[in-house]
Amino acid sequence: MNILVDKKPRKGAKTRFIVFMILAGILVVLSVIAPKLAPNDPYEISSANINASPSAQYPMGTDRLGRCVFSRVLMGARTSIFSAVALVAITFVIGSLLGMAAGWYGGIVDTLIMRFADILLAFPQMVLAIAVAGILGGGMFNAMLAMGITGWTVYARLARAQVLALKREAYVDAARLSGCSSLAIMFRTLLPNMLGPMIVNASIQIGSMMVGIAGLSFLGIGINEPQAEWGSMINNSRAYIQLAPWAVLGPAIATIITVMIFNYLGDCVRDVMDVEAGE
Amino acid sequence: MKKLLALMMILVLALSLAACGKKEEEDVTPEPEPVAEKKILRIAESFAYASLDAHKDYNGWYTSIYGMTETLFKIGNDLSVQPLLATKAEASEDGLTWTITLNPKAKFSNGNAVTSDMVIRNLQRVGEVNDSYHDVSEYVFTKIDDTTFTINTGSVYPTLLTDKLASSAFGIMDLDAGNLDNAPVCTGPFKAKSFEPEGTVEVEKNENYWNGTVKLDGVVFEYMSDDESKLMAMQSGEIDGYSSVTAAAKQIYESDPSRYKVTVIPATRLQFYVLNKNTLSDNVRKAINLTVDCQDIANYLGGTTSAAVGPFGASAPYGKVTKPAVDTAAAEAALQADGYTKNSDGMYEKNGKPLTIKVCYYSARSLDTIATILERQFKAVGIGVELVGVEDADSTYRVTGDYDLALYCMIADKSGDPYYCVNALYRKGGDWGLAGFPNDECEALIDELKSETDINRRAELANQIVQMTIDDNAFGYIGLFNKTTVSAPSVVNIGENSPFDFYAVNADTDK
Repeated sequence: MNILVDKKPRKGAKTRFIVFMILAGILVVLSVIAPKLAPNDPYEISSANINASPSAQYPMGTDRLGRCVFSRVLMGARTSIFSAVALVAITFVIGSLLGMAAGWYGGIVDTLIMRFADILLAFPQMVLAIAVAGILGGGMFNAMLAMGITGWTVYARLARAQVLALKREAYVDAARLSGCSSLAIMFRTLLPNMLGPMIVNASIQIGSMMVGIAGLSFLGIGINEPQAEWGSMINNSRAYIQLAPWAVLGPAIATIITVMIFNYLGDCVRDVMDVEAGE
Repeated sequence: MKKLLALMMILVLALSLAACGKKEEEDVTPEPEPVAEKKILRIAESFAYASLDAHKDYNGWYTSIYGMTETLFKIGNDLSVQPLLATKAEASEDGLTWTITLNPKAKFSNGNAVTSDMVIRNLQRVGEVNDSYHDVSEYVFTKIDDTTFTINTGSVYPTLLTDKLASSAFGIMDLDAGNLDNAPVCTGPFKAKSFEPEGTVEVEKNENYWNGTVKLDGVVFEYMSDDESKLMAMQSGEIDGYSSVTAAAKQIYESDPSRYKVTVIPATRLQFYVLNKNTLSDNVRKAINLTVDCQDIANYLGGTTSAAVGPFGASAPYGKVTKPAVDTAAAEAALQADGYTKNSDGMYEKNGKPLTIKVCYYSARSLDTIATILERQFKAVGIGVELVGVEDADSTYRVTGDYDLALYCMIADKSGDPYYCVNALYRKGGDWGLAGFPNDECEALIDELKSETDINRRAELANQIVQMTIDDNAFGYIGLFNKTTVSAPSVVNIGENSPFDFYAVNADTDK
């Protein structure tokens, strides 16, 4: 019995998982159809409507350039959600592959990969990301690269630990004795058995990646104007918070809700996986 | 036993109370005379330097703001040159030698007189220690008497007073007294009290001030680089005022005139763009300049800038230039004349390649906002834009020339004369030489301007040169920043009426 994991089924885990899966799904769908839903052109400026308060025409008011905040929040969802999900997917794949290679081959391969990961982990993730984004300049790609430089290490360490634990299993020895190549064993035998914890970890990371990218944009070194992105919208409107609080609150509340949903989703995925492991 | 203990405790308590009573009686002393509260003004500053040595780097700008250093001449609110430590300056007939007469009343805060010897040593030191003024080290200084000396500049230099002698880098210090980095002895109405490098600076009244009575007891300059911090400090009463107020803060202050006094005057900081002649055809540059609506941009910037025609204010004699009005139809006609046609997206293209211009900017002085507005204005006529934001223009696009349109901000008029700006912007090998504008005709006019002594002819030359840049569509002048100062209603004379940022407190500053 694994004493580190509570394998008692948590009450309603699957129900919560389904609820948050639906909520996350709604957010993704909203972000996909954002251009159709936006009541106004999110990039259209208007000197006649600077800092206008919420109205029927502008449900969340307008910002310092007279742009519709609600339309920009909708368009920003696309940027924020997709950049975070894409980044998690990329770092997940890269980190898992490197971690599996390190765990399976060991020796110099293990040392090189894991010591490199240790070097990157020596720096706080956000500090390193700020430095990288500062050097590379603004833009979505550079912001994702800055966050991804350290993002893969989590999966690499986890994958390596899983491989080290699993490769002593009898079925792995059996596969090896039956003449399977290393790659075949890694991808056909090990990967399906270690995917559960890896996915749990990835789902928890989506929220923090979203906050990270928004944080870089807030600092002015991530996604820049005029592209609609929540962090950059908050940054560009914060000087006007006393005059037009809606321009800050709109993207801020959207960020909080989205991050909470994805974080809860991650927790639910973990709970469901635990339940299944218990069963 | 318990009763005995209780009795003892009561006795001890009673004695303690008695002792307290006795002490109170002894402590009764007459109340001290009320001390008049010192008048200390608190100002927020966006920048702070590591030294108070006025001659090095840009420190002089700040020692002038702090009311510590004074120069031989100063630039008045009307941009005229006015005497300060010197009473007059006369140029020789050949224009090579200037005779400077010092004010015999001028003295340092330690009581020492300001003499020709000390002033000459100061001027020579600036030439030695300040990279921007190395040419001064080639001048020949000759002492006539204690209050008169001559400067031979080697070549005709009509703007010596505005460029050098009134420049804050030429603040006069007693080089034989005090610590030049931390507590220099100067001639201004205030002297250093405490100095925290790159932090708060505190000055106190100069009791020996030579030019009137100083009304304040001291000034504290709080270092606050963040605009929101300054706004909140002003709202909480932590500071009494500051300048360079943002559009958002200005609107907040103006909504409560009982608590805040907002002063807005035309100033000299210019927002402009350079069009790269190496990458853009004449017609595309023409289309760009016909599209940019400077008044619309000024509206977005909430009264912090005024729409510009040229680099100088229209009221200056060297600000008399004209530019075509915004005309998007004419802009599109120029593009079509260049062979561009509109595609199905409404954007212009030629040979299947869409017209996209690379706009470079940095996030200061509202240039990021301007870049966003320009993107929309260009898109409206069918010109695509690639926005490239950088941290520092001086180490990127300004030196590489990798742009189609480069946004920049600079002080165009430092001293009531056009030469500084003209020389910096339009010279061959100058800051924007890579954009391909400089031409021989313009160069000859700049050379003439450099040595021209007649003020009217100088203005005429400057107007000719600037008009050339407009007609050639080499530059676009967007806006001139207004100087916006906020203070508590009772605060006066914190430089709110000077168009220059390097003048702030003086002897008449009060709260």
